[in-house]
Amino acid sequence: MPESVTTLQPAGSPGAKRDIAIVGDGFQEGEQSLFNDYCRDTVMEGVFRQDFYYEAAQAFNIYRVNLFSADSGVTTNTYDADGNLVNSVHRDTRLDTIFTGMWARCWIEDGPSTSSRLNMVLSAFVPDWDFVLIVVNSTGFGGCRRGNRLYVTRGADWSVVAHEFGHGFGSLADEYCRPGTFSGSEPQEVNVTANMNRSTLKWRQFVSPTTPVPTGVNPNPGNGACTGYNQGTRPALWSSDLDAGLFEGAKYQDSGIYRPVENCRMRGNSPQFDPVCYTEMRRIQHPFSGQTFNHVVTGDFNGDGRDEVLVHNENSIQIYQASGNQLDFVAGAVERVPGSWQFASGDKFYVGDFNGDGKDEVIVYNSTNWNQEYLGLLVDDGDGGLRLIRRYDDRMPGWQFARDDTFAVADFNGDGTDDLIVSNGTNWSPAYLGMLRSTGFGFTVARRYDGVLAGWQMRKGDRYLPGDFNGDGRDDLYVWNGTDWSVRYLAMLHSTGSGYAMVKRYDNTAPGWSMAKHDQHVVGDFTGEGRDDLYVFNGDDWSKAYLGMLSSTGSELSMVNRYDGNAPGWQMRRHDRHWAMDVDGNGRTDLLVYNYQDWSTEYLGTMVSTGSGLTCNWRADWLGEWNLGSVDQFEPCNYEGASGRRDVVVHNDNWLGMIRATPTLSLQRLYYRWIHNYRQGRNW
Amino acid sequence: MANNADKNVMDSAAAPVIEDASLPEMPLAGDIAREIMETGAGAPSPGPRGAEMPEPAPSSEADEESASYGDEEPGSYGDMEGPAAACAPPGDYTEAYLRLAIDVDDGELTLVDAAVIDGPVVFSDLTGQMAYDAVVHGRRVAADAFDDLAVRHSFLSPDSPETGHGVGQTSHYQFVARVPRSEVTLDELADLEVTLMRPPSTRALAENEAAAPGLPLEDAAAAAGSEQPEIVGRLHGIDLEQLGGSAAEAVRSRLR
Repeated sequence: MPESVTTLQPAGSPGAKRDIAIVGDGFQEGEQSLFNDYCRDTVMEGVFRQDFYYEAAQAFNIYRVNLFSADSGVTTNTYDADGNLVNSVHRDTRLDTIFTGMWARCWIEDGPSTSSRLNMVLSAFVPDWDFVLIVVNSTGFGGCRRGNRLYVTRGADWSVVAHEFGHGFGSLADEYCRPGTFSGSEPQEVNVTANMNRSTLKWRQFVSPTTPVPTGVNPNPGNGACTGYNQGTRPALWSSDLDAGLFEGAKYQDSGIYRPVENCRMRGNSPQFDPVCYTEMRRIQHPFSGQTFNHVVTGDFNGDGRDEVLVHNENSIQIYQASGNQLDFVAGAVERVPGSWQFASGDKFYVGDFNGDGKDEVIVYNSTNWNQEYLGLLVDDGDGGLRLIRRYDDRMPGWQFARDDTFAVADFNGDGTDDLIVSNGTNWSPAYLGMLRSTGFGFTVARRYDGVLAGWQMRKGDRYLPGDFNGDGRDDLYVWNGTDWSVRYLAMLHSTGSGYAMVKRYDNTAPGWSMAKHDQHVVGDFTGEGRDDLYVFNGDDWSKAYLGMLSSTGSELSMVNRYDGNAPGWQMRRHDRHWAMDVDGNGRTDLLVYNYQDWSTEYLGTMVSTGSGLTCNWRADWLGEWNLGSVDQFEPCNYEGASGRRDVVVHNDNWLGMIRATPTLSLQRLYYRWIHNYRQGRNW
Repeated sequence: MANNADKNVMDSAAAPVIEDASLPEMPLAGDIAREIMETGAGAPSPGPRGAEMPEPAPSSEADEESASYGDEEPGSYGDMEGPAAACAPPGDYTEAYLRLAIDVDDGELTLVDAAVIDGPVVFSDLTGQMAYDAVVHGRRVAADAFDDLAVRHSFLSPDSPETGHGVGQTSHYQFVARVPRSEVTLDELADLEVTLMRPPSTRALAENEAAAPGLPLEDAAAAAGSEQPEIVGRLHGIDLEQLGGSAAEAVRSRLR
């Protein structure tokens, strides 16, 4: 087997990411498993499963370079107290590194040819590296960083590597203490200061007004100790790594210089980064992470009754668990999840409980980034993340995937597990619709309709809207076509569990409603009678906007209420957009409504169903600190775990907000660029 | 009609807004038109696109019961195939960047490697203890910041932790400069100047950039009225001849 490079974490193009090369020295060909295990246990499962590194993993490409040394172990030099070499045990190794075991000699030194050999290796295997971790085959203790090279023995655990990466990727200062008093000018690093003025303190936004500044003062300068909280009573819930103040002792001095917290990773290695260091690391690496909040889906993936938030960017995902009115990172994946779903920019996500376990699973479909189409079923991995249990490549028995396949989640056989409807009227002739029944671990085509669907001639512009309109526990189908015929059609197709039967077709006119090309529909049980009804809106085809509430009797529709121009409390306009919610948790489907185009400012409102009408309220322009805008996207969900569906995640490129819609619309939490809950302050 | 469209703020007590007076109000019944769907149609409507889906499928409940359309057993899956990325033809100057590995020895900068690498290049916001800029004829074509590469840093000794890190300086190290290929031509390499510097604080260059974006970093500091960075060293011109034949030729072939 030749020497080789393995990409352990392929986050993206090298120039757009931070590229870490891990290179071994002193490992013979037969010892590669020792090196591989170190890479896995210390770097991948160690460093990159910790707070910042896990959350921002997509900023880093990680490469493992397997080099074969002639000898096992590395050259060991022994020096006397005066620095004279007294013994040398030579080993013929690939990089010629030397273990000294001496703090004063940085534990590990370069041999005469280390730099040139390393350059040749990296040039061949990782040509655009930013930082190299050199693992020497020694169980002795030691490690040394020289610029963008970090040398460690196999005895160095993840925490020291995580600490050193804090220097390498965040330009962070050490927060260690030694005897001595700082007397220089203000240090350049963000996490140490000589400034004791609260109002000008570098990290003042993270210090609570009730926290004394300074917070810890060294009573015996010269003692070499880092001082903890000693200015007043340390609050019972004070966190030594997350609560910021001004603590004396940092950067190798015990007095005259201060650090933000009692003990963060830049002092104690294993604690997480304090708010100052975390923010700096996130801020610096943000351009390389490529993270935005543009693509967000919600679902209760862990079955705790509250919806989680899944953020997708290019080839990565992050999952955040809701806790009260905040989100906490629980898991992420770069490039793929176990079972082999490889994330890509064109992934489309569909959420439902496809195996009846009370947790939501994720269907991912990609028809644009690969040589063929893929559909994957991702389930909870038991640790907050997802794993793939079923993947269909290019086709599944009875259905050939194509670029414009469109999916909808529906329990069409009423077995309590969600199934899928797939349709395609674009890539084939005739149009097709498939009923994909969930088996709990995959899907089977229960029925396929080729061109004709229970008396409905299928066309490209058909829109399929699942909903249980007769209350029998099976999701039926409303089908709408406003474009392909000179007549507008709306049909109600009853699900038999394995097929559809035409119940009613409306041609041009539904009860109390003249159908027109731009009719938009939202399915939901607005009467609370256990049958899914139909909201229909049209803001384009008439002189004013109309909103109809068409109630299902199970076999037909009846107009319960039609609003012409105005709903109670909401002036309807052409570009109103609607989503289904249950604002008050009474089992009746309400609407979230948004308009950013037709007024001088943006309006977000709720339209709450009384069963026979609507009552509306709205907020204009700002929702708390959220400035409503044209780029905002809304995901109605239930992150609180309350009855109904009264929550909304609002998001755009840089911002994500948590909105509760009752008693009135209110912003509960706001995040900028990344999701992190600071105990005091925030990152903007 | 009295509506509040002219003041353009919502008033739910006002009359409905007339979006387009040339359009009618919704009638109670629609027109009957000509091309209509056949109720109970047995044949699919012909379409101009594509072909029929090749997969056989169940088309009746009886079919479904007897057909072998069952799910295949889950298994382990390999890599997804592709992507089918189009390869750039020779001479095609798509997104790429010039990577320069530069050796620093007592402030003297020497080019030790160069390559043109495909793909986009992203720069930091110039936060760091060290930084470089690359300038051609007074025009900044690249700049980035990083940790102080001249620092040597030994791990804490487990036997005497009170001694802390052994921190020292090294005069010999390397850094990498990246320049988008679109920003520099082969002819301009001789005039490309790379300057390595230490800013007065890790945020200083980012703050200067906000005040005077896009300028060479020393000019930006002057424009922002900030303290000048300390210059570690400069590389005046890129001489590919230093690299040897194949590496130099590889760069030449991929620059305009």
